[in-house]
Amino acid sequence: MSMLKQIAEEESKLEMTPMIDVTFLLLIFFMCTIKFKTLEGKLEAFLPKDVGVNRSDAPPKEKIDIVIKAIKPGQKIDIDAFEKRGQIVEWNGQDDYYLYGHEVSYKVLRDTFKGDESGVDKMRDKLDELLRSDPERAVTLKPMPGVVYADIMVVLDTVIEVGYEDVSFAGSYQ
Amino acid sequence: MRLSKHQAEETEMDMTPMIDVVFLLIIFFMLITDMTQQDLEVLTLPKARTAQPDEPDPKDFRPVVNIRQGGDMIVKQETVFMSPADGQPEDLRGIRQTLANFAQLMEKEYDEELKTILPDEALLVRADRFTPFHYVQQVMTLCGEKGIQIWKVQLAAATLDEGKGAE
Repeated sequence: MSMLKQIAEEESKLEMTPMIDVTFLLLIFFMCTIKFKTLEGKLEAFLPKDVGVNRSDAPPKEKIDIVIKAIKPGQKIDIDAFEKRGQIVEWNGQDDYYLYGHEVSYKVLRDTFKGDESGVDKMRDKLDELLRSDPERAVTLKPMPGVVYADIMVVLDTVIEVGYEDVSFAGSYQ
Repeated sequence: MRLSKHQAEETEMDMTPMIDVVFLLIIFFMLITDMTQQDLEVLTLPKARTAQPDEPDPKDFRPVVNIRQGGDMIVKQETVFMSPADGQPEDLRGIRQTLANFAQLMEKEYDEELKTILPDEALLVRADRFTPFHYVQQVMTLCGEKGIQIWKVQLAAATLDEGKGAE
């Protein structure tokens, strides 16, 4: 009697080892594949809808041209060169290169602004003044060769901050 | 005899709490893993004050085009455009086909003014801060082509309070 009871008890005990194996494997898989969600920002842009179908016949508005010129294209430097110089730059560790000494200028109508912080502040004031004289005014960004994405982002950011609603990009320069 | 039996019982580990913890961890990682993030290449985005936090609705179809520093365009970890060597013409077939496929998959809406059906969902363009703007322009130009006509384009930027750009 007691023998039978013992056997029954032993059989009812679950074999845990395979389950734990699988569970650990799953755990390791998820730990390895995880990429924490990064919240990025974006700027909304609407391209003209009518390209390639038919041109709209709205009267052309007088636009403010902002010409973005690369005065110095900059030197492509990899991280090792920076470390040798003892300089620290913002780096995500996976960039192909860092553009060192890249300089741009922004030309709004007849005024030229430098690409540094004070230059951008002056450009902001100028654009603000222009918008106040005509709230309907539109802007066209004209990038010249050598201009990088970050330069455009600075202008676009400034233009949006000032309050322009109609921003367009000039066609490709190449 | 009695003593040795007692010892044998003590060496048997109680697995239940450990399994509980492991299961909890698994559930945690399963919930937090977001497969949509795999579309995003490692790039350093430029910063912008006016950038809106990017929280796409998971129900929406929102394709992503990544443009690396050299101009290579990557969609879903696949290179669809290789920047040509000096003097060589650009081969835009890959990226054009990709954009056309995106346009096909997007929800459409009838545009009263133009009397045509246009895609009504957005495309996110993510470029590195040092990507020549020419390549972004190429994507925008292609977006406007007949048969693609994706007119909602989002330009990725890092928000200012973010210490770093993209992950």
